[in-house]
Amino acid sequence: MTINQSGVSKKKVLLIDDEPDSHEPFKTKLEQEGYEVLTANGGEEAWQKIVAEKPQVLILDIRMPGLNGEELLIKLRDTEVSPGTKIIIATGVSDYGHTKDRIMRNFNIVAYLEKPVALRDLVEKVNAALGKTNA
Amino acid sequence: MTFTTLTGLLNTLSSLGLAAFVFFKRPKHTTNQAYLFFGLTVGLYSVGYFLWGLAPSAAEGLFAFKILTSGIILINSAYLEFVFSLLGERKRKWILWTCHVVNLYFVYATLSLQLFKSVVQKNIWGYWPVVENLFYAYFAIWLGQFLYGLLNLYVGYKKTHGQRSTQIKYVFASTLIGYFGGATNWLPWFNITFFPPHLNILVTAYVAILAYAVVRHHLMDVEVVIKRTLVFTGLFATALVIVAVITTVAQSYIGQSARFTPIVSTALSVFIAILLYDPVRSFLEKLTENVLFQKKVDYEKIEEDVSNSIKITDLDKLCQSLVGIFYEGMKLTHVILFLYDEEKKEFRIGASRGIGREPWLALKESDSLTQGLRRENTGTVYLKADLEIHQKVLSKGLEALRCETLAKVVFEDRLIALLCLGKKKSDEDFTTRDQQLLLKAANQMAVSISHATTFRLQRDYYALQAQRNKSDALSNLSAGLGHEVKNPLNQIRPRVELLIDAYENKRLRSDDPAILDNLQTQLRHVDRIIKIMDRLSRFARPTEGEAIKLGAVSLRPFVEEAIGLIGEKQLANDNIKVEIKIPDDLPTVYAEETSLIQVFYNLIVNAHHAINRNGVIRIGAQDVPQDGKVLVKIEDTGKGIPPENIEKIFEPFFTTKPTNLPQDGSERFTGSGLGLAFVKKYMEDLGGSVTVTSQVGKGTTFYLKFLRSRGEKE
Repeated sequence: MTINQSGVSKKKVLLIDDEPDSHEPFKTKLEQEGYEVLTANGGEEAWQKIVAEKPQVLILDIRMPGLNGEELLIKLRDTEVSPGTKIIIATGVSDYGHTKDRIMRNFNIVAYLEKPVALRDLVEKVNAALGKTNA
Repeated sequence: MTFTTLTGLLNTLSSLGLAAFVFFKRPKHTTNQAYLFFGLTVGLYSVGYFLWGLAPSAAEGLFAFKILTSGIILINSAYLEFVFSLLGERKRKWILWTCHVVNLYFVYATLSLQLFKSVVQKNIWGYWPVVENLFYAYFAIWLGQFLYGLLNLYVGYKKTHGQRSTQIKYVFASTLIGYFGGATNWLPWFNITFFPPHLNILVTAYVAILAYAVVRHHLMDVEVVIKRTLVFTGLFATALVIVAVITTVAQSYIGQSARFTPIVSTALSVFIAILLYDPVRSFLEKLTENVLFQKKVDYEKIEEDVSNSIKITDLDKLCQSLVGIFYEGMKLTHVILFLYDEEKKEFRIGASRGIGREPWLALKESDSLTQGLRRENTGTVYLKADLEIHQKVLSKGLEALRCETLAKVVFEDRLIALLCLGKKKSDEDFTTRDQQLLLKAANQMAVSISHATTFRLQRDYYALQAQRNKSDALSNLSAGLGHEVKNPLNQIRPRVELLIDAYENKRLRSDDPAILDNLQTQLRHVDRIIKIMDRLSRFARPTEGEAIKLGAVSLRPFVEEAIGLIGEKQLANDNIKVEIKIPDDLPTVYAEETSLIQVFYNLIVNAHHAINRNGVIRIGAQDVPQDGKVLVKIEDTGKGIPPENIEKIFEPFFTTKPTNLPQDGSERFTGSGLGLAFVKKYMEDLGGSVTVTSQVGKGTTFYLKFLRSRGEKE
């Protein structure tokens, strides 16, 4: 955990998406908002970073090759490796709400965002998840 | 022979003819017997009249007048007898008998010369009686009897309804006309001689009207099927009589005024007759053929046609056919077939003939016909003419449709259709045989119409399913494509936001390399979207109504296109590897581009769904020159198809995928069961084929055989 200028430790946000370019704009914005941003390109990599870093917030895609978002959620729930981590879904799955319903029912999700995600929305949800009223 | 003499002859023949016809049709019925009596008395009068016309001397004139007057007297007896019988009047028999006795007395008085003693030449019309005082009493009684008969008829006409009423109306009108014609002969009795009794011919007119009522309205329950030859003969005979009358009159007038010798004037009339013969004959022939076309209804043929109509499964065609059978078979003015619309709760026209563009298109519950039918639970065939007073609403409903007959078509206690028939073109009434026909036909129509209705429902269901399949395929495709498009959009949108953000916060510097990088990344992802949309439009291009453009195509690009549509990333996300082994020198095949992509799309999507996650799809192709074919293999490592299903997979609507995704997430894909049916149909249309082998738990292989296009190499 890094310490920022004001001496308060920065909250960690882990961005998980298999799209190569997709982290960059979100990372830039969240860093501007004062978060420490980690990235992972797939489920396996994400799992390692969660275990190692225990991020406060996950921003998770669902469809990914290898260990996909849903499988990662099951693993998190069943192992309770990082129980305090808030999970935000950001996905491009468009199957008329089927996936969303299922995930919202089975896991403890604080926000479900659909791609394309608006930066403002993402920041708002991250802030809300961490109980921050303004950035 | 004068015209009046001729009318005597004509009246004798016509009235005796009709009376004999009516009597011999039903000799045991009192009404028919009474009519025979009536006809005989009119005949007696007319014979006397004819003889009077020929009388060369006063003695013969007196003799003729005895016959004539006896006839006149007895006419009333017969008339009342007939009227009472026709009206079914039984209580006032004493009136009849009184009249008979009185009339017999007057016959006696006539024969014993108490009404008149002698005849003298009056005007140019020949010998006429010099009346005695008793004549006036006789005349008053005679007139009273006639008016009494007429009054009875009028009351009877008012009391009855339907066909009975019509029949009585005809008797009333015709006898009034006949009597009126005969009554012109009363004038010379009172020494009024300026008006010659030419109207005596109206007696024949009365016979004609009554004959019409017998034929058309079954007066005296006589059923007549008029053969064309009979009508023609009758018409021709009438025409000849008219010609004869004209020539005779012409002969006497012209002969007198132009002073021709009898031989010249006879020759002249023969000449006129010859001249008129041919045009009259051909005119009458046409008239019988076209207007009075009385060809006997071929009931057996109609019955056969109606029962054959069960083979017609298209409801519209069936209705057209049924309406045509009755319209043409029974020679009707119009036919309307109403079908009950369950949804709208009204009868709508299924088909019609002879009504043109009528404004009423449906019979609603509020219409009098529908209301009338709701009240009538019994019966299947209603003849308007037979409807009772309490069925007035129904009668009114039929009136509105100008229909004479209605047949209810009932299937399993539900009124599914109404067959409404207009008049017969021959103007005849509907008979019991017609009723029998309609009853039988209504039963058969119930089966054929319900059959066709079921068939239509089924067709609509399939159409709905096909529609559903299309939207299903589209929803599958758009779900996949949605993901494909949203990913690049997810790259573009936040970058745009960042730029705006930087601009607003005045942190935007044109020499910042991050900005160029940002914009270039966006451009790359915009191009990605464009490519996806191109594929989609190629896939979804409507081919309906468009001639299929067959041509020599190479397969590889279409396989790649189909994979692109599914999304390489989608497949990768599910850990599915796609291996394509298509030789570069594979010959081109005969195919049509858009459908070809759909064939590969369907098969590869199926393979994906069969695998679900983690597997391999192998797509291979090889030339089979000895068959003139190119073989494509699409092999997957999916769950396989159980043997009991393998025969069915190409059948439309067969699917093992759910049509809606279950909530528990146990299934990820939906299916409508048309994908493989489409592949099979398309391949067969191309002269190729599709076959399948499968092993449960191991995987499935589809084999596509395409026709090589002239064995060319790519």
